[in-house]
Amino acid sequence: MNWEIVIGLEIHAQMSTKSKLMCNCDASFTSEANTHICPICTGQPGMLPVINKQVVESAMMIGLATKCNIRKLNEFARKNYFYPDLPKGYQISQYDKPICENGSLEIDVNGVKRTIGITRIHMEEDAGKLVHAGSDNIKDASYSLADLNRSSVPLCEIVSEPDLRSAEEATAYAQKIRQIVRYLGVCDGNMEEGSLRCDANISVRPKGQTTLGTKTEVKNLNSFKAIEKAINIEVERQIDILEEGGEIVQETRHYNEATNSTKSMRSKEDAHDYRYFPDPDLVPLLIDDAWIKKVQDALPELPEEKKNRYMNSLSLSEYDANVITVEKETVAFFEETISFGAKPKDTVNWIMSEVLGTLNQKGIELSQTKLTPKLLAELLILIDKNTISGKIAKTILPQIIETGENAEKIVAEKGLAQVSDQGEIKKIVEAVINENAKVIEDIKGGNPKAMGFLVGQIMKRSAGKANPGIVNELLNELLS
Amino acid sequence: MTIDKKTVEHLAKLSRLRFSDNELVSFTKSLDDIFQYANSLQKVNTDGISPSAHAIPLQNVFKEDEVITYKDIDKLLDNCADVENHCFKVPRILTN
Repeated sequence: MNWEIVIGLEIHAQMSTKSKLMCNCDASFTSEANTHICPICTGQPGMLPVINKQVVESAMMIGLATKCNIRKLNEFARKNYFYPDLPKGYQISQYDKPICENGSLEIDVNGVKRTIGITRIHMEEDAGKLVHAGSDNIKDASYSLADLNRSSVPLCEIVSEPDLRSAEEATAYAQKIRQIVRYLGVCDGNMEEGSLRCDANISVRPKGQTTLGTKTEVKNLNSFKAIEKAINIEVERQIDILEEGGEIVQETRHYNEATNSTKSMRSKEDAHDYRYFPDPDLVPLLIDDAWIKKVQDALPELPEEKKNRYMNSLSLSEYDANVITVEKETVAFFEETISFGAKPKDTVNWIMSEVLGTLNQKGIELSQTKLTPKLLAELLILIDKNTISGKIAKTILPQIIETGENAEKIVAEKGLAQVSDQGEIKKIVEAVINENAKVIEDIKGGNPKAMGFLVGQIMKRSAGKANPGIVNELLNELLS
Repeated sequence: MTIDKKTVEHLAKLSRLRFSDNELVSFTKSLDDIFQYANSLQKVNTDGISPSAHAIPLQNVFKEDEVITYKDIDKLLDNCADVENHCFKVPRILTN
């Protein structure tokens, strides 16, 4: 049978605020257990939570960047459950009145563009962390230790419509969300450290059927690769069951990256009744048009807008505009480099291949090198002015990255400037012609490869410094 | 609906509290009284009144995003029955 895959993603993005959602404790990660805690985030009797205004604005920013409606009258709700990582016995979240609703996002998979609906975005607090003693497995642990540093760290949960139709689309959507929250500066997007966590609701149905099949929720997707692999393996599992005449059980499944398989965690049938109700500790949150406008006006230029601007006013191809806007750091570096006079197209090529290539080899990030946009621009301008060849430029780039010296200085010190002096080049060209009588015969016999060999010899003898344009000109002149 | 002894026993278990038989009887009565008192709200006619979670007309109470370190963390840990490695020690979560 022909199956259609239906996926919706729930993404938890940790807001990069200084303090927690309801108290003034430091929200940053620390390995020293229970050092970022206070009576509020440990749920002591008599405590009173108060909302962090920045979290509200961060949520509004994500909503506005994904074309959501921003709710005017917001409420916070208590989601009740008993678990030792949740000291209050409830999680402060939003239930039927989320701050953002009905948004959308455009994704592009291999040139096919699709609009994916965003159901809702809501604010909530994170839970603490448990270490199970005596065993890696919670079942065999003799007791557990709770570290509440993460308790009440602010999260925004971004829920998509079941609009995604393949693992590739789901990955592209998650990448887009990560790109947006990073551009907005509201989340660092670090999946390995858990600042961006993803759960996938997955079902399949016969092609053409309009009702949804029974879904499973797959958790523990800690990388884009895991999202893609977990969805594929879960889809395969569901299709196998259905084709053998079985039924899908609605449940939560845990993805194990090591074995590339999903395993049942608990059945939704006996799932908790969370007994949501409005939190009486927190007063209503009213968002008026003026506040929305203020946040809207302060939004930074988003990847999609940047991409279009680069294509329209910098004449970059869609491909170049795409690759350069993927990462916020790269795009900032690009914009600064061209502000120093480097050509946009050359700058994209150099950053994407030479600069990032060299950094990848060294295993470091752009921010960790001595290369500045100004230094890169100076190098590219030297190529543009024919002072050095692109080839020479590639050889000195690692030195710039290492030392932070400027290109002009390195070129002068090493005598690498391109030779454009006709007389000097002519001497080399003549010498090479004299030494390669056989090759000259080949060229005259119409073998184009022989010409390339000759140019190579001349460049080699000039230590790569001869201006290739002049070399070609002289060769043609002397051989005609 | 009324609060019976079974409900209080269940709540006590969830809250990891142990009550004597006398306490159970007394708490059941007290909780049921409170519950019945709150129940009297059901008699109020609320036609045409939009639901509200708050009695006082207060809104948009925020804190600024700044870090203020809490000084008495040891007191918080002291509130826990057992502490190990500066962590709150909790009983085994899953039983077979």
